[in-house]
Amino acid sequence: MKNTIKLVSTLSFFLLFTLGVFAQSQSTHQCNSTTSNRNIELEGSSDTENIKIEVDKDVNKIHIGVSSTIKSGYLTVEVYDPKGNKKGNFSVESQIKPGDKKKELVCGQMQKQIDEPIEGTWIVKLIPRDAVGTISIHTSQI
Amino acid sequence: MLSNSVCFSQSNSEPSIKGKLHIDSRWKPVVYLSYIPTFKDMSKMSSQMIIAEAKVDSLGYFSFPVNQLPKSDRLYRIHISKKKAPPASLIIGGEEENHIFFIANPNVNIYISNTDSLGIFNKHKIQGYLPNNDLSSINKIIENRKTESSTDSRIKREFLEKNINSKLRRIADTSSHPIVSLYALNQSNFESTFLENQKFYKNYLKKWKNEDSLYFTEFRTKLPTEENTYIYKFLLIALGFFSLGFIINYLIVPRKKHKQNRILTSLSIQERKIFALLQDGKSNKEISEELNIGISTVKSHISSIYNKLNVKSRKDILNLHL
Repeated sequence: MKNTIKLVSTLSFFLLFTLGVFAQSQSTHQCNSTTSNRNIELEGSSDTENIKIEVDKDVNKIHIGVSSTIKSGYLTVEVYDPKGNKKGNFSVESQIKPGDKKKELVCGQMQKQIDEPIEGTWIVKLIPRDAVGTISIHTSQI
Repeated sequence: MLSNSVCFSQSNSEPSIKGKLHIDSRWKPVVYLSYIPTFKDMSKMSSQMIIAEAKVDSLGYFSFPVNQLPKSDRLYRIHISKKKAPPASLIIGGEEENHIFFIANPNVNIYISNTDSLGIFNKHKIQGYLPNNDLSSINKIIENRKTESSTDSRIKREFLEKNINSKLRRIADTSSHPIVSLYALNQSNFESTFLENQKFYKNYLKKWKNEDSLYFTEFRTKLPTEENTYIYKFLLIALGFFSLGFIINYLIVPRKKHKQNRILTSLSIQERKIFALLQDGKSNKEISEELNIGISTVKSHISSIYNKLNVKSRKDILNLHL
């Protein structure tokens, strides 16, 4: 009987210990993920802008989401890895010229998930041409 | 814009682009057809690219007439937009990717369908025109690129990437359809692998030399042509000569000059003046008058100059380039 109680209590201890370790690893996992959001307003801009994303060696996964809505002009968004290889791109163009009474919206959105990303500076390159609109960039690293 | 129309069955043999889509409440029940003039425009959205729109009826059916499409095969995109989004909306990547590409002409009867409303075009079929089957095969290879990369190490991924690129090049090489062939090549990172496979690209351009569509025009501009290669070679040779000139000028000549300067400094001030006059071809008498010294003194200086410079005559002095 005593042996049974010992066995049950040992098993319970291990079970609780395992659950504790698991919970801790989950919470550490959550703490290690970093996210950032950036919103950019374009008011007829034609200046190229590079948004840098620093990726450390121990990052397992990065997610880059870029969405843009433009009212006029032209916008190209490109994503480059630290080696300079293009990893994705999109362009949006509105036929409306600044000052026109007509309204037109054009939306572009890109979702990129990269596993085991190369360590270094990833770049989201924004190339507007007389663009009026908004860009929203969301990045997360795990 | 072409006129909207609804209703249809797959058995209808009238040329058209039609289909049935399962779409959930997030999306507007409208399908937009865009003409894609170049591969670069596959990731571009503008309302000008949309050439037709068709309502999706309550059962999911839609249809576009094709009689106004360009006569030869071209690349097209259909997309749907979210309820609050404008018609010109492009979503690339992720579960909400909202578009697919296909090849069509005015004589085709294409049927597009999906089986899942969550990822609207994740599981789709394009039936009725064979080149689109090849396009789907290429897309499956590209999809493999994504799934393999999520599980394997970086080195293995690079190996797989090379493998996929070479598979795509093989399709490009063997396909008899120009757009399918070029689509495969376009997905194979051809710009970065050009130098490794120059012979392949040379033969490829030769094979499709009569193709004058914008797809090929764009492709040709991206590849370094033979003419450009010659220019690069010429520039490289010119750069080589420039570097050689630079080395000679800044490393070898200064040493020589330094040596010559050392010889000149061995002469006295008066000797240097006489040396300069000798190099101008002046006679002893002229030197004597110019420096206001006696001829015998001039002769004595000249003799000293000969000794110091290790020369034997005026001719040797004239030949010295100091």
